[in-house]
Amino acid sequence: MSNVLRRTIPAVILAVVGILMFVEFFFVTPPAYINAMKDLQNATVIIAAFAMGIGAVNLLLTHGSFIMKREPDQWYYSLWLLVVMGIFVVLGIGTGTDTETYQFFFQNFFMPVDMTLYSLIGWLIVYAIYLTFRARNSETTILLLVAFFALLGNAPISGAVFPVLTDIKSWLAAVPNTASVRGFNIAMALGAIVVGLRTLAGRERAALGG
Amino acid sequence: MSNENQTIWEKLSNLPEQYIYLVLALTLIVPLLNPLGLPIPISFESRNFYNAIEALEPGDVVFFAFDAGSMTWMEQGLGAEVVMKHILSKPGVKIVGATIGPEGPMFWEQTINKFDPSRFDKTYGDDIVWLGFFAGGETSAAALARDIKDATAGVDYYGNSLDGLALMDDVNSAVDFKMLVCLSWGGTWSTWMNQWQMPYGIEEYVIPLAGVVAEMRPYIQSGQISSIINGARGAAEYELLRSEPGRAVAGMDAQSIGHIYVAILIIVGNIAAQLSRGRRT
Repeated sequence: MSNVLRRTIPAVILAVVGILMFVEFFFVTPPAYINAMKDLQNATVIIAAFAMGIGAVNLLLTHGSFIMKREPDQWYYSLWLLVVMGIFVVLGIGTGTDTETYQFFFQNFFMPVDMTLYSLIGWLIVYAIYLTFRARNSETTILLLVAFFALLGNAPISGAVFPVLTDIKSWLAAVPNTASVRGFNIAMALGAIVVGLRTLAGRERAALGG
Repeated sequence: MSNENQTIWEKLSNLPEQYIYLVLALTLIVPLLNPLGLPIPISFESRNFYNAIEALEPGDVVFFAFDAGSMTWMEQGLGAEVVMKHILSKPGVKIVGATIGPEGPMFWEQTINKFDPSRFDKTYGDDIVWLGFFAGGETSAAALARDIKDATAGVDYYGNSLDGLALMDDVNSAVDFKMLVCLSWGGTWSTWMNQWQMPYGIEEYVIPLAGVVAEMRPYIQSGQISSIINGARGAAEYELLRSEPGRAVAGMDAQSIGHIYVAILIIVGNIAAQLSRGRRT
């Protein structure tokens, strides 16, 4: 495929659409222009829905290939993934996701597995805290104290018995935490503006797949 | 160094993980089986959230962004359920729901069916409309804020024409709603804030995971987020405000004791590490 098709045309489309949307967001524009942008936005929603389908096909191709090649330590997981995916696709399309059958499979198979995975993070982090939250130098001592007060301040009993713990936690959340998050957000926003401008100018290769 | 030569402090600074987990399990399971009724102070955030829902009047329409995820449902579901029940119990208050999370529709069905809206004289189409899942994140949220009928191609999640649903006669864009309640899986609260709160000035109330509240603080301080229910603890506070202690309140004893246990582990680990280090030097 020529470079014009792969790079130039997508870059031009991206820049034109980006500038059109930018103008509509920041400036007062005529109703016809607003309606055209509305249609463009709705088209994006439809394209995004198709992208999910492409994701499913991609999953099928990737894991299908693992199964065909009998990839060591992998192919049986891939097979299981595709079997489960197939069951949910058939059930979802066949019966609808609001039916009792689909809800039964979702609530009794998918949800417990997903919840267990999330809970394991909380479970394992307790041992990690015990091993790593040690006052080795001034930096780790500050981290340790902040974590300690945040932890105790978040326990409902602490606020009832020692309200000062909640006050300390609230101060930590409202002042140092908010200041650092705000600084991080401002830096991120400035970075996003730069990436946005580079994309509009057709100089951002990542937006076109690297 | 063999185990026999280790001092008590050296042993305490390196406790085997199975003991840590065993005690953790006990600190969580015992209070769940035998509730202790430990006190739960109410935060101003939960109170503000409660007051805002309580102040809704007949005819007000709430947009419920139901971005639920199965991984985090055990935490965010507590807040979602108590708020949903509160809104349903308000006479004449209506709800339009949608989600930008693919698992949202399953949890919407589960939550709405759990409370059976007919008990509160609410009927589908007149008081409740579910628009379903929209792929595309920010773009979808923006499209819904601008023109719901256009963004949904004029149909709800079940394929009914929005023109045939009485509730949708009155609302079609973000400005038509009294408030936005966002059940946020991860960072979707910021998506709705960017596309609904900031351009249209609608008040946004969020039910986030406790783990992401730190990121939200600047926006709570600036007033862009009106209030939050802070994870399971916030849900417990809300249940108490409604005088209906439920699953969240039941879990708070375990949370309190679990937190204290981890704090004790930190103290013990540090004292033991310092003393055993002193012995080595």
